[in-house]
Amino acid sequence: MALLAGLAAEQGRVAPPDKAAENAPLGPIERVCRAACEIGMVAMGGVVLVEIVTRNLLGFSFQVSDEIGGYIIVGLTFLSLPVCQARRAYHHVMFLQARLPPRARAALNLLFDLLSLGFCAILVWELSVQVVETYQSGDIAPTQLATPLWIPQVVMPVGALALGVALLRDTWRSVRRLFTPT
Amino acid sequence: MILAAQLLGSFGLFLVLLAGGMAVPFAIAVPGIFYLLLQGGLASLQAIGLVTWGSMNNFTLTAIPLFILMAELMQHSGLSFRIYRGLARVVSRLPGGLLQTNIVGCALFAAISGSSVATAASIGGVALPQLLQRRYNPRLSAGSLAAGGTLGILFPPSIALIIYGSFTETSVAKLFMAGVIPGLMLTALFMAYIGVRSIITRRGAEAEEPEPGGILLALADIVPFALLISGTMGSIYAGVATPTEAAAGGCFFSLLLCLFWGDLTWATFMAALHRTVQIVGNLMFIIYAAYIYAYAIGMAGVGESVTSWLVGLDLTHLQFFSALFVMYTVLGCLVESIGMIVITVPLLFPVLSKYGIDPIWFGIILVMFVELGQISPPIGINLFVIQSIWDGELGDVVLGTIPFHLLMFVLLALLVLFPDLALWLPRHMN
Repeated sequence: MALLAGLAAEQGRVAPPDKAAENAPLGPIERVCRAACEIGMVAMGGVVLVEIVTRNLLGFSFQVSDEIGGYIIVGLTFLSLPVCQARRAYHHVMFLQARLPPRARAALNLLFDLLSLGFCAILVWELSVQVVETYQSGDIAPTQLATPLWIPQVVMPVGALALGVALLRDTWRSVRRLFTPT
Repeated sequence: MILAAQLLGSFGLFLVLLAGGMAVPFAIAVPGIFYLLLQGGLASLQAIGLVTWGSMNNFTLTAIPLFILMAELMQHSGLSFRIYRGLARVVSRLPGGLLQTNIVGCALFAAISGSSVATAASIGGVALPQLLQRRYNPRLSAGSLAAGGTLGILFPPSIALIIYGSFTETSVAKLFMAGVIPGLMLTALFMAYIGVRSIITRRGAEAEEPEPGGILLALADIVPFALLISGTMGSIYAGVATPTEAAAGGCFFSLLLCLFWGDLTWATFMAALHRTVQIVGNLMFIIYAAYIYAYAIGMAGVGESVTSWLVGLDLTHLQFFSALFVMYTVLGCLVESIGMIVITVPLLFPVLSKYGIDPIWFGIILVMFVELGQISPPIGINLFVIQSIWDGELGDVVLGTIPFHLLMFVLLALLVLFPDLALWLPRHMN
């Protein structure tokens, strides 16, 4: 019984390991992106459930769940980018950085921020070009919905751009940390 | 020769960025872009848009957020506590007491969550304070939880296997089923070790006293989860549902479970959604970055060169496996787990057919290597998860996992000697 009482006392302690990072404040762009991801996730579950019910109980299929699921996963991938950046949710290997003096660590972080920004700028440009080309060529999905493909594609540069904003903020922070006397 | 040097250079850059502390997805993507620029200049970047759309608009990947949401709902509603409590009433009567509950709890939660970190954090958060308060061996307690957590990616649903399936176009349903028997065997090996060790040492891990009516109370805690797991996995095995459909159904029923058995409120529901977005965002960005890297090495023709080089070596199965063993053991100490899959699989997968290796069997072997990496210092993520809950020494967690490491090697050897351990169940699927 002592075991069970102890377990009950511990019930409230179950917490994700990165609780501190999880509570970091989000800006308006990240909040909108996160809300879009969450709505997308619930919608994806709903669409797949409707497909299960109609196919197994009513004997027909809308045949849209694969298509919509694919679009939503693209949206989730790109719109979650600024959220994860702002919350520092990406995995980092810290064993080397932890052994560096603060100024060297700040310089290294600035270098990484700049490299990430460069990658992000390439993404924004190339993904925007992709959307414009799709729009101009009038590509549509070869499905019942015949979705104009530029519509689901547009979240890709939007998400990359939002990541760029979050990265710019982090880069500015790294610059200040590097040039602030310790 | 030039290709090999370029490949080694880009892989070296990846390792340097990773070790320096760059976020994992950027550390994969940046060398990929450098490699593209090296190959074809700015013009080579023009295909990024098409590669992005072609790779990420992928229905197989839709199972990932739904399985993660299912686990997060359970965790935020306190249902991992009920799993542990229910199992503690039954399993802690075995020699090893609550340490046995750790392993079975991890195995059960693994069948819901698909993630090692979620499994280790959920069960570890409930179990560790109890184990330490009741003077269980701290090293063994922490080690059993870190190692038990790795079951999360061997038992279906496994996020690692979904990712492997999406990169190799292997049936995720068959991969899931292939993980069942090795998962059960690893659970049995862990439990046997704990039992034998506690009988031999007779210290700090005695069986717990049974309580009256314990079995009925335990059933009340465990049966709903057993139904959820059997419904989700049974529907895949029977061929009634795809993994994504099973994940959506599982999400819906776990929502009901959390409402009626757990503490689900609007706030906990939103917290689970917030957390899911972060976990999914992290995973999907790693996958996306790996597609860019894979495109870069594919464009350079490195894949073909590596394949012909490896085939030219004319290795036996055992030699090929030994080479993999050395490579993944080293990589496991350097590269984060999902990164390890997405970086190596595009290079190695074409070689498998030349050597007559079953891709489903290889998927399970790969997951075993990833599991080992998750408890290998210095970057084994489960070590840090358990240490963060425990606030003890990381060295003790590492030492505690060593016997479990060795048991994983035993299972690896068994899988190599008897591939049917992984392949029998998928062969009998509908």
